[in-house]
Amino acid sequence: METRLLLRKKSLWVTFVCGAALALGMLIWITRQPSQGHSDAGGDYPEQSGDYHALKNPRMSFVTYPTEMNTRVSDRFEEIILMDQDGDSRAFYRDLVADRSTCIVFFYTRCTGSCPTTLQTIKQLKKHLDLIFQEDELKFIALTLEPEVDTPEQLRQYMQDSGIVDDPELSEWIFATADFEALERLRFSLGVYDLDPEIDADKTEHASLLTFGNDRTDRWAALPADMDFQQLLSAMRKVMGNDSRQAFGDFPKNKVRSEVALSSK
Amino acid sequence: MRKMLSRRSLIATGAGAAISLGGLAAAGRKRKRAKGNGKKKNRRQRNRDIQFGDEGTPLAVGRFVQPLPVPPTKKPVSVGSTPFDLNASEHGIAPEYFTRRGQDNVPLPVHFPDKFYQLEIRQGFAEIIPGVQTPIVGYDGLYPGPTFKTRLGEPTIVRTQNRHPHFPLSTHLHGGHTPAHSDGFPNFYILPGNTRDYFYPNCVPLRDGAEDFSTSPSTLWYHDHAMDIAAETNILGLSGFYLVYDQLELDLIARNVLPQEPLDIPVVIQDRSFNSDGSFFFDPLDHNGSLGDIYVLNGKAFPTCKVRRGKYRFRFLNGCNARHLELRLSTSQPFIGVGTDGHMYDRATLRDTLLMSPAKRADVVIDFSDAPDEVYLENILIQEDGRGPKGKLFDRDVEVPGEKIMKFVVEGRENRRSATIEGGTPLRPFTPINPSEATVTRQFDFERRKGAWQINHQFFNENVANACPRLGSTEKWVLKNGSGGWWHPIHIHLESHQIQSIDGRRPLVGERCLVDTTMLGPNSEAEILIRFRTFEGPFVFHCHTLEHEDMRMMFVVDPRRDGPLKNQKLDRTFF
Repeated sequence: METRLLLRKKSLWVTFVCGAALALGMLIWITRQPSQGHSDAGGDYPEQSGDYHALKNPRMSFVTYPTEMNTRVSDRFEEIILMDQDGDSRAFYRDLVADRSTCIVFFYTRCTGSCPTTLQTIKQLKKHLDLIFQEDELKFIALTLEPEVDTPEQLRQYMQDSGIVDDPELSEWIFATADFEALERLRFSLGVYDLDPEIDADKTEHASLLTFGNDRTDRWAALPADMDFQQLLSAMRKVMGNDSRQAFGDFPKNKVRSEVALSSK
Repeated sequence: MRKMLSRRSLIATGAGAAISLGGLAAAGRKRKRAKGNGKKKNRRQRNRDIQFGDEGTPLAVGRFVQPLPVPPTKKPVSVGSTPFDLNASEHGIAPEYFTRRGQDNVPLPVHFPDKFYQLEIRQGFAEIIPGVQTPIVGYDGLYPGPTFKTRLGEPTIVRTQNRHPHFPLSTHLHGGHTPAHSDGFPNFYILPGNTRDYFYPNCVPLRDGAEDFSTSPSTLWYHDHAMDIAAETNILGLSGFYLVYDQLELDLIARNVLPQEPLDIPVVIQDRSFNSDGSFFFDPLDHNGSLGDIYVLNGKAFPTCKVRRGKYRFRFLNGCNARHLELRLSTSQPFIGVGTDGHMYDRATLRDTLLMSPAKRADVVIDFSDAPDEVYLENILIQEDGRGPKGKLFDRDVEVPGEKIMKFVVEGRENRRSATIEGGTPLRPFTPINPSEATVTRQFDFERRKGAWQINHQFFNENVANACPRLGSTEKWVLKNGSGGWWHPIHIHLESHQIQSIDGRRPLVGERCLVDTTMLGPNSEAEILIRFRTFEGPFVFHCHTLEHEDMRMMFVVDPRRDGPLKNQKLDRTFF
């Protein structure tokens, strides 16, 4: 009864409205403050302050570019539905590439030449990269060049035979197949082809090229797997890294999780 | 009562604020969540509306509507006195800056006080197509970068800061005779945010104790040479001119043999494709070599250049990633050739067309005295993909008239004080390298393998010096391109070279003095002579189709005192 009377009082209403307006103003002021290292502005690039140093600030993030409005290299990748070694469907871009770093290789299980060497190289690369990337930041994808032979069962068998085990603590390594036509379209959109149709028909030509990139920073590159290992690794870190530590920093040597993983392999 | 009221009002204010804050926060979270869920889909959705430039630029590009700009001249911050702390840059300065000596105690000839520049690599926008803003990465945020003008014997220090958020970069002075620290070796980076002090002594090597002025450079350019991304950074705009004047050239200009500024215009020609949102189209996974359908000259698409009747000097640079050019004037009038790459000829040479691989320069004078009111610069070479032009080096497929890339609007009466140069005018005395000087012969096979490129069956290895000539010696190199359809322009750092023969024939007109890039056509074999002087390595030589370079078609050449050697471990690095 008393409160109802009180609410009728004009002065109280005025104070209430003033308080609300004050809070509203403060809220707007707070949200308008520019957030560090990230810009929501359409096509504008965040202006870097001139006094930062990559090495002095080892966690400088690279994921400031491109902004939402920009095109990305991955926009031109064929979106196809893959079937992984467990028979699960995975959309190539949406489930595997989007917003993380990926390393893609083409191979086929009957291949005896370059494929086993390439996969061994990736195994070594993965061991090292897992030390600096979080498990959800990185994926490895092996796509078959012979989908007519390489069924999911065949792929799972091949993984077992090559000693590739799925460790949930580490980044995922997917072996996948799909419709031949779709895979060919994907291969061409990833640049793994030769302009000479005769050379292009030779599958082993494509089986030693690693295509890797980071969809968040929009950096992509490809390199032959049989070049110098350390240089391949450092090139992959530079292109796939989310921040300066992943790209240029020292290797962490005291990561327990990874040491366990390394010794178990 | 008064006290009561104030307490009540306080409660009311608090309640009001809390309710509105709470409500707004909830609404904000709701909005944020909705944005988060739809974020990717919306971006992909939006980008589906963006047309990519892979099949040609989906924008209407007006031709010959923009004037040809001249890149601004870079101003030094100081001459003579050191304007900044030389120990303060993260990647340091070449040791030769302090010693003023090359290897074996060879003094670097200095005739002028030190000149200091400050250069910044940053992102920006450029209006290349009228009314369209294109995001670029530029030296000083410009596209193309500013022009450096220096004197021979004028030590130049360029403090370069990399303000790109995540590209590690490395600037190469193409055609320069520079210390290894400052030569843009692919992994001697300027990391993001860091600086490097590049030291360009602007010197010529010594021969018999005297300066070898026949190698005096004239038209150089600088561009990015960082590992893995040289193709991308070139597309985005990291290139600019660096001109060196020596006394001989200044005398030629003073005697009005050569046109002087503003009739001396550097022009970089680049082919670019654009997406419909105005950004450059570049596919880092196209390893053949990217081509564009829009010709951009000094940062403007298909420009117009107003000239008066008389002689003009143009220093054309092919700044494309993979496109070879063969330039011709629509009037069929020949160019008066002054030089190729960094070097002037011994005599001005008439050239009907200018064949230029990526990175090559053609220093020419065009005489507009009797020209009609409109003259077009055309590219007549047919090239459909990154493999190179159709045909062979000596038998190229061309179409006449070619694609018009720039329009000259010729005005006024004849300039009576026009420069006097004509075919045969003596320019820079040149003593050819004598083949008997060569003490070592090396062969390099350039080939495609496993989706990438190799030299002598090896991929580029930044820790191995593939060729270690003895400092001060001359070598004969055989450059062999064994692949059927591919062209490879081979660029050697540190010193220019002399082409002895290509496919057993005399080199093309314009390639007969010194060059820094040799064009190898399909199945071509070139014999070259090259001296290695002044600076110990490491330097690189590579294919200048930048996609091929990024895909490891590169070798290390490391002149050493204990040479000649090959396949040595690299013993000097300047990170």
